[in-house]
Amino acid sequence: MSRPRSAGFGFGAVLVAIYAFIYAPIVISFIFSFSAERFPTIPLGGVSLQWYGFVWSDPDVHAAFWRSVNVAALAAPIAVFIGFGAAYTDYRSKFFGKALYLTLGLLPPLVPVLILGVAMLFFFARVGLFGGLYSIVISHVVLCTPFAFTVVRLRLTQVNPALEQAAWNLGAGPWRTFASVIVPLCLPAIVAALLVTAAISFDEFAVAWFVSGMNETLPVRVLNFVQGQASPRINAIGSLTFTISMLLVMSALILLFFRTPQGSAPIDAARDKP
Amino acid sequence: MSEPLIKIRQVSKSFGEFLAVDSIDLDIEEGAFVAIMGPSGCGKTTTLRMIAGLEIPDRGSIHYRGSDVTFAAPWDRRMPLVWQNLALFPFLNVMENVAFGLRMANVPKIERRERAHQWLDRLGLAEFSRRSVMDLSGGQQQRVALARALVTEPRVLLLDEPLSALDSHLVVRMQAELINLQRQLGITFVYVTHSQSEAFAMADRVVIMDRGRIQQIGAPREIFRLPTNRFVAEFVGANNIISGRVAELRGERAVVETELGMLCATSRSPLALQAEVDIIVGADLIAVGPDGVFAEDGKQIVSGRVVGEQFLGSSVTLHVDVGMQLPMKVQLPLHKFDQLGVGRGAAVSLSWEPSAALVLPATKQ
Repeated sequence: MSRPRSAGFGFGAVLVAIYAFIYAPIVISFIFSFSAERFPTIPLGGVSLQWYGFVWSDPDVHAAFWRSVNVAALAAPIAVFIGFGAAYTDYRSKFFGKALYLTLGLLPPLVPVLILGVAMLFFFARVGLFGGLYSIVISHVVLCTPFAFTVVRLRLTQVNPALEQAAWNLGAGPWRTFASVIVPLCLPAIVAALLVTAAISFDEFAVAWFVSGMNETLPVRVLNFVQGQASPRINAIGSLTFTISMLLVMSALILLFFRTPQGSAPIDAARDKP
Repeated sequence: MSEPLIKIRQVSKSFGEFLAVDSIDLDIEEGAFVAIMGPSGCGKTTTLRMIAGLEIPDRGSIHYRGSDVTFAAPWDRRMPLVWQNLALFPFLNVMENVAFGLRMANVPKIERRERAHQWLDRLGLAEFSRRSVMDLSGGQQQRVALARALVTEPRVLLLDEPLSALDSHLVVRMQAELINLQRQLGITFVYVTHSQSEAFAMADRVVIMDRGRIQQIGAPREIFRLPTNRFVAEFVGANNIISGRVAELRGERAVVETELGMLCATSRSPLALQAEVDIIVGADLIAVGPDGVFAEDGKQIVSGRVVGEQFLGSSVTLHVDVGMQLPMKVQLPLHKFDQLGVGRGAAVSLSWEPSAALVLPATKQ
């Protein structure tokens, strides 16, 4: 509490520098996405939405965008389903080899994506799934599940274990308890996990690049833009992708941290059947 | 003689190396208010959880209304529990919390609302039915927990230190409400507590546990006046314990050789000469007077010096050094204390009737 002021100042300055370093390129690309010029100039030669127009009218981008949305919409629920199951198993039961089980569950994001991508490519080629949309969905499920697992597990650690037993005590069998106590308790975490995994899938480039074949997703499309020519369209498309991902992640954060964990939601009525 | 509602036979339960409950036998009669009391770790909560089916005994059996429920699942028992931390469902409102048990029993929606409302009314919560349980005060939450447990009209209600989280002024009020509720409903209450005043104030039968074993079962008065062993005598508070050896036996009377001299005491179980015994004298059964008073006929008399006093409100506990390791405790009404006017350091003599001193075989500590 009696830290010299200068130390706080220095710390703040370093923090600002780090954030500037991370976000400056994104901000710059954001700004130049509205540029009227072919090449980036300072000051801005004029403001225009032409690059967004180009992107909008490009059928390849359209197709890639909807492909990404489809992949995210499929991969996120599957990943959350599996992640939730894994987290609940971890919460509920003690068994031999649990540490190994947890490690395996959390491992995929720690494997370099390059290795994961190549492995997926070989695997899908071997089983004849290469190049299909499903191959991207499956690999994204693998990548996203640990995140869903972590988010739900965090919530479960805050759950009073007596609540589950209280439900048993009031006549609810294990499945009834799961549906009417555990799921409602985890609902904010489940929604947050859906948003986070959707964002990860929507953004994911490396593995998708390996396994997508001709079905390129939006991030793969962006890379192909860059490889062809340095078009300002990249700025427009990059800003769009970034905005979507950020919206998803920020909604998840709001759900997870700014909502009181004990908050009540009128979810009973929806599930209420005699 | 009718079968007890709950019959526990030779039940043991351990957690790893720790023996929580050690072959206990306990009958709980229908309609009784039974308090299970003991220090923390004595096995009282484990016993309750085994009755509720939340723990499975390692050995022994539990019968409920004549059928063996030792291994029955908790959701099949209909023995609702009021939890120490209440365990209300935070995602449901007051009404939905109360109706939870009915929903699980597949009671139609209209009926369960009606029944939940009746209970909310009865416990003075009607105006809160749409509120979140997290917005209620401790006392109100306590009532929601009670209503939630009672709405299914069980024959037995289990309570695990339900008042321990409440402010002390609320505790007394809730105690009175619980007693009334139990009388009106006529159902069995099994109440776990570490508080002697709670157990004595509410229960008509008290079970004292220590280290996984039942030490004594009896009416509150019986436990208070006639403890059957040293643990109970110490646990229920204001008793003086004087160790000694039996010197002479005359029927129920025993003359015991102690460090305070020969003391006369009453025995309730057969004793042998020279047996190691403890004499138990209730602090409120000792009369105190200025030193040098002669013993009246048959009375025990000991002199000592006041080393401390403890003001309890309408009564005062004096601590009197009589030459034993611990000072003797003497409890007297405040007005008597004021009349007597003995402060710290005063020489006093203590006296009691031989019938007020209970002699028990010494237990190895």
